[in-house]
Amino acid sequence: MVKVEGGTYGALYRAPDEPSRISVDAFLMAVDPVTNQQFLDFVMENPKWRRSNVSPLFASEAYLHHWASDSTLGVAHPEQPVTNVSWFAAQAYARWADARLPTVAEWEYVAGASSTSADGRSDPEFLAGVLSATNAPGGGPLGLTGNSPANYWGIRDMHGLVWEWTSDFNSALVTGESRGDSGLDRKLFCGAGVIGASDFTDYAAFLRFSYRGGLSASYAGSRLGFRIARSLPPPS
Amino acid sequence: MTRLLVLLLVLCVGCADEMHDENAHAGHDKPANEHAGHTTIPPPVEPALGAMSLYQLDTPWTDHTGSERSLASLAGVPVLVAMTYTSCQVSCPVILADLKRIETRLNQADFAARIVLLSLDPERDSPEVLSAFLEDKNLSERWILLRAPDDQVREMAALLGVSYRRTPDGEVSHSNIISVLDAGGNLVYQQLGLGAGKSDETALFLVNDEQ
Repeated sequence: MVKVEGGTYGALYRAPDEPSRISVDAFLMAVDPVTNQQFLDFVMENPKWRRSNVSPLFASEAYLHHWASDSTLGVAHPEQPVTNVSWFAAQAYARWADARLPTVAEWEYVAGASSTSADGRSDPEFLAGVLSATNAPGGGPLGLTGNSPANYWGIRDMHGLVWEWTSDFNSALVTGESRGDSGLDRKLFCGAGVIGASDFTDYAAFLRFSYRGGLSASYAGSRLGFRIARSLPPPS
Repeated sequence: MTRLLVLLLVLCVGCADEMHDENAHAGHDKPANEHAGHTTIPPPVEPALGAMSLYQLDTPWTDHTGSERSLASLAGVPVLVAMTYTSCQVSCPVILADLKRIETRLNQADFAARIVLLSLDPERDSPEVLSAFLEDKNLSERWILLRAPDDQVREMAALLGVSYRRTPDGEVSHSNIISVLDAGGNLVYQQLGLGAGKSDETALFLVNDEQ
């Protein structure tokens, strides 16, 4: 893991009561997404997360279906990012690794770093690169981790390899809730979203937010993986 | 010896029953104690958990007495669950009022069930704060207040369909849902939204389901 210094980023979507820039405390983030091999190690130590054992409550049928069996990868490459993992499984892995999933704010903050700057969102070339990576056709074989250039923080493959779970992926989906900002969920979708959005240039971020908004926690998809993060002790 | 055999037999019947019906309703597990709310609720029997039991989440929570406890330790009687936080001024008092209204019905029917509040604000809701809340609100023996680190709270919220989000002013926006888990931890009923009419339906579900 590498240290990401604290800072702020311009949130793409926000409730009326939220500031336009969200602050992120310094934290640690994994350089690469979790791989098939790493996830296999976890599954071997935690039998309840084997494909044949997992509760339907925690993972849909697609869970790890690209592996040859409960305990063998088969054609799945050990260094490919693990996919077909539910959010519950990703949470369990992170806990096992004495870590956690990054929050949406942390993930987006890191995703905004170009190779030379902590905030590449004003760099048209960077944004164009992110968009083309995000829109890359999903049909081909999944790439391996570790092959892309690192960003400003030393973190790789934030764009283009896999979608990634975040700890609070569903927190923007507030419906029937207690404090009357139910306009929030409407903002996650195309037409209405434009009104509440603060940044029109980062189209890839729109895609990510709408993708997250469509997920449920037991879903497992062939292009959806995760990476882990860790909090730093508060400065004394 | 004979008694032991009978007990084993009963347990096996219980297992088979559960296997046939994953969403086995609370009715199969009616505890012997008829005076819940006034006397102690029977100790948990820790049955084998079904494939859809929420109690499969096995990371421990901390209750209002400061003791660690697993969700599986709630098994044995049905449980009403709501996700709230103690400093909440807006809807949580209404959730509490709904739950108390349900509790009155449960008491009238001598119905054993627990009421569990899971904190959406684990940072501020320490066991001490939870315990003070319990006392301040005059909550009975039925009530258990639980807190856990954020990742566990998110897991329960995902299973219960509760959306929540912290706001910059230190509040937590959240869905108002009261869930009913059966004695095995299966989600069997949800009250979406609040109010006397809705909580009466929830109470009726519990009590009628049992008879």
